[in-house]
Amino acid sequence: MDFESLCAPEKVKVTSENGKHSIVVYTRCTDSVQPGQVFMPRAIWSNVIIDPDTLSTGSPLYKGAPVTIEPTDEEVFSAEDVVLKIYIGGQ
Amino acid sequence: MIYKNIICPVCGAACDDIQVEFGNGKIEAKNACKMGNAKFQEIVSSHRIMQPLIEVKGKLTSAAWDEALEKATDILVSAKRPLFFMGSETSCEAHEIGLKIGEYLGAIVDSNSTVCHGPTAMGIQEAGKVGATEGQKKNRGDLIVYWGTNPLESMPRQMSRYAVFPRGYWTKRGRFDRTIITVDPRKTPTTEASDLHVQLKPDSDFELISALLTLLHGKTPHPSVEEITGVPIPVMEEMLDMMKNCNFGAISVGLGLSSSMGKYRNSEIAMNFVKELNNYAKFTLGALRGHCNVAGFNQVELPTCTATPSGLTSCAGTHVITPENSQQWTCFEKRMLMQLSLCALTLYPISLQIVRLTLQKFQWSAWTSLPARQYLLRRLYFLESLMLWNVMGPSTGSTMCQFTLSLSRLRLSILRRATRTP
Repeated sequence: MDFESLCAPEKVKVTSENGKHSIVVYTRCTDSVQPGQVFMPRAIWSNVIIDPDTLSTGSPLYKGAPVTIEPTDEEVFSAEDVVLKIYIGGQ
Repeated sequence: MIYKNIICPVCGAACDDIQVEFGNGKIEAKNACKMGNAKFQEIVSSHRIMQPLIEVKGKLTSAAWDEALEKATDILVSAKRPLFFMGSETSCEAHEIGLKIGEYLGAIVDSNSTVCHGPTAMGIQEAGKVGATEGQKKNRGDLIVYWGTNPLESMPRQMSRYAVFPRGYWTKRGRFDRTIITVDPRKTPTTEASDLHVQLKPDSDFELISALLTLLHGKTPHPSVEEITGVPIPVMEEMLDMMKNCNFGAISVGLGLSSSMGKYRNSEIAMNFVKELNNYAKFTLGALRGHCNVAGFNQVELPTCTATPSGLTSCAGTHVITPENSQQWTCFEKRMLMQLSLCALTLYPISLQIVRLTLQKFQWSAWTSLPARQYLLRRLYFLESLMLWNVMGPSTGSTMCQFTLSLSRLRLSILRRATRTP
């Protein structure tokens, strides 16, 4: 339902809650999560947008972060490009 | 040539029945899962780094070990506040040396195990732990709970080797003698293979366990818990009934618990819940650990050397000490650790072989919990490759061994420099 309301895009831009960080990823539509939720595997792409708060444990909040999702035609970066363009290139 | 009973270097299941055929620059692994197979291919892959590289004019060029160690020493001793980030794909011996270097330099020492089950290990230290060996789960476990984990994809052989499908002494019919509950916000292959899937909302683990505890105390939780967790109270009651009426229950927690809001408090309340469940049935809790030797860093080396489970800073010259949790290991595991340490002292290849054969003879995989197993196997593997190193020369030692030894040479190099007082 959420997927169709976005016009079933092939790629989406996921933006973190504070709007400072975003990443383009491919989509896959399944019924595995409840409406209003998305799942991103823990990887270099999700590391860009996770909540950096660690609650004094040294481990960031990987789950439950509110994000904004919009369809996009931008390029999906390879893992190497994520490091070069986002981390080293500086956002 | 075919090698049998090789230990898989990927996840915390540490499968020790891999058969490897190696020769002519090719490697083939049998019995391993997809992840294991891919990892074994790394040994012959073209991108494997076989020697030190030094950056010259922006380009990495190969260098001699002595030169590289000198350069690393230069960088480390002149750094104001170095960070030692220890990988988990190495041995506990390397972790220990890293900790000592960090202590000497006044560095921060941390590892990727902190962003793994770091908060779980903190929760264990807060609440204590009721644990069990994998053999107990296999032979007695009639209720298996997966909380925030999807082992069919993340630890593919865990269910078939230890928990769900194997036939045990009191669970002779395998899967038919067991009930499986999975608590996960997502539908996964594991939830499809379960008898009950509790689909909670993300970030509501703490609230759900609190509500279960309230029900366990014979009271009804506030109705708002249904909206917060997305789980109806009758489903919680059904889940609790299954838990109270089993003979032996085992909860396996995954990163879903430690990565959510609440962090270490989630595993802490889960441990407290398990303690109370023991009034009704024998109940245990354990973490399904990921990477190669994450347990080695934050459940072995850090707790035993410094009594903390995650990142450590030596800047002020002291560590923050919390009470060490000595209940992480069973007596058998402690004996095995002692035995292996003795082997490390004597370094006789034959005694190692005896330990390995003894372990296999007594089907030791059934006698240890998963983190202990991970640690023991990595240690055994390290000692064996050290042996190979001593006998045949450096080029034959494994990468794990090379890493540990080069790190200890680095430590010596730093100590020799002695330009900085600790």
